[in-house]
Amino acid sequence: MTEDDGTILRLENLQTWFSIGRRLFAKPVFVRAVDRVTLNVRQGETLAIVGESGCGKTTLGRTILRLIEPTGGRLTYDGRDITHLPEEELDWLRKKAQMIPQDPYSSLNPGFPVSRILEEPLLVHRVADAAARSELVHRALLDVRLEPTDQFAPKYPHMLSGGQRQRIAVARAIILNPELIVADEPVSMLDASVRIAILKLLTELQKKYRIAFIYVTHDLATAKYFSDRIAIMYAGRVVEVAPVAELLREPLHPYTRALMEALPDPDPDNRARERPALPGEPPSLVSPPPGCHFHPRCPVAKAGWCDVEEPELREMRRDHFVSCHLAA
Amino acid sequence: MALLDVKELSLYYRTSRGPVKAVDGISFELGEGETLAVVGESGCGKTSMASAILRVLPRNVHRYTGEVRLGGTNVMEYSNEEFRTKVRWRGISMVFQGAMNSLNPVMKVGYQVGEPLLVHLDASRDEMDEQARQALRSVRLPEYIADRYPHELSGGMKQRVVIAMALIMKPKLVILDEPTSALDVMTQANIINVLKRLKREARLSYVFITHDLALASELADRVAIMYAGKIVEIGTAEQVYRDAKHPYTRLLLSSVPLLRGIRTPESIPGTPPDLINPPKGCRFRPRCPQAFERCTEEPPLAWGDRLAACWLMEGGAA
Repeated sequence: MTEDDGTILRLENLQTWFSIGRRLFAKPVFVRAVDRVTLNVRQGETLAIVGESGCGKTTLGRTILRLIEPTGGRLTYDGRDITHLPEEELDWLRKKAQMIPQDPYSSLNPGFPVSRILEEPLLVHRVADAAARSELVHRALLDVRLEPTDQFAPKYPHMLSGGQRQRIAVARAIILNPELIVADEPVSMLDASVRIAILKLLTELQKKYRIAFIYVTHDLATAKYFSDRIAIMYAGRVVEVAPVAELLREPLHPYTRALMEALPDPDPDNRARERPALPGEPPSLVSPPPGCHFHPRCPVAKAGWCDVEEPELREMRRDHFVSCHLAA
Repeated sequence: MALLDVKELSLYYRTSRGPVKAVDGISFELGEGETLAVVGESGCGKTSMASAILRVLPRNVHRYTGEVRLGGTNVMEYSNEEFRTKVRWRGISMVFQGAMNSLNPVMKVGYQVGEPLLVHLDASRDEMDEQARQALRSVRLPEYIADRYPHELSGGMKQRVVIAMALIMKPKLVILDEPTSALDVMTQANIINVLKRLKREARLSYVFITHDLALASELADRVAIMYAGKIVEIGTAEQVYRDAKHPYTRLLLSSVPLLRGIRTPESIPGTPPDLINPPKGCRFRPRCPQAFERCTEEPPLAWGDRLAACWLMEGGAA
């Protein structure tokens, strides 16, 4: 059941901490990969989760799919609490929510032909008989433009280019007719020209089948063109969420602004000036700084406030949330 | 006189299916203090070109010909030993793609940065140590990094270490092969700033190899666009970015998503050709929206002041 505003997935203070090195009599040590994240995903929309490596965006994606069990907060899908649902009761979610992994070279079984790779989810979920399955495989291949389909179906992954392999990963993700797909850096290993083709394909499939996408990426520029809303993550937390145009026109978090400034567009004038870039590195997720996680690198941080008090995610404009004490 | 003058450089690899023409008759010049960005999709031969310039070759070389003139001397005529002692590190050094993952995990960073001095210059350990620290400072790393092991450093710091290493023998020219492609946007911006400062302060020349046109514009004075083993267009950054002549260059530019613009990026249909059996004539012909009869003949890379290997230049249509 979808909620009134079209939300199919809701994250409330979601937390995924990994325990490392628990020693006798010592305090357990945690990697706080996802730390109190509140977000919603609406039917048929693309929400980009943008952040640098190690910010927890991949863990967030995997937690949303319940490939990892959260350690705190609440995760609801279609109004149903799935935060701690045991694996045996997750079959329906495994059908409705799919994933497109980053690396098209390691995510496809090299010993299976394309037809079998695509049939696998149908077999696992006992969908249709053999004839109907082969029809679904054919349709999925048409959807991702690998035509003629009977030419691609018997091929093995090593016979395909990177772009073609990623199309297979897309076909595998849509074959069960899902409501939600988490695409984790689906194009970062591909060439620029192929990248755009795959992202356009995803957008097209989304419109056709009304699939909600979570596009996990480090690349703000592609997120701009291929998502409806963007969530910026830093050190395990979502620091800003807004519709794309609004976020890029008026970024409210200093980290979002820094991220935008660090990213060049092709322009020969670039070489004449230094690019504004934050010094230092994101903090360790084992012992993140107190208060706002961004304060040690923040150009506008106020001592006695930002380093003490944790900022809440506040709605500053309609649908524009930011987690910064100083945002106005 | 140009610092680097490459003429008709070719590097083919031997395979069971026949020779792969990875670098096929490439020519360009590079002045002192100048940066040439070499941009192309994966498999276009840009890394092979760097290997050919620095004579870092695999075993299955089928053909290795052409001229590489460094400061006027054709170093292709050097013996391997001469090349090793006179050209590598001292004349030209290179930052390999993913080099930060090749640091020796059991050796302190300072020793690794300074090691070429021991090998090539017979430097004393103290001299080496002093110069390694200086090289680390030049890439904006604190000196104490010299006493650390690679696993104690972040990716961005390791990449700076590798750049410091390339600078230790004070070469005139550094070849950078995707020096930031594994790094985050912010780390990338910081490293590009370091490279910009070195270029300005030490008058370093770079050959900057990348697939990323946006990133290339951060350093490039001139840009060479590579396709299927050949340079299809070369010109000043202004010429290539603002007034590209080759249809491939234009398509490549239009595939870049812009953070600050409104143009929607477009993909390039088709795939690059097989370098064992490249198409006759212009290698981009099968994917080119503007191809015509003439394109079955190979176009020259020479039309007055603009260098684009395209027959459209002949009719002035481009």
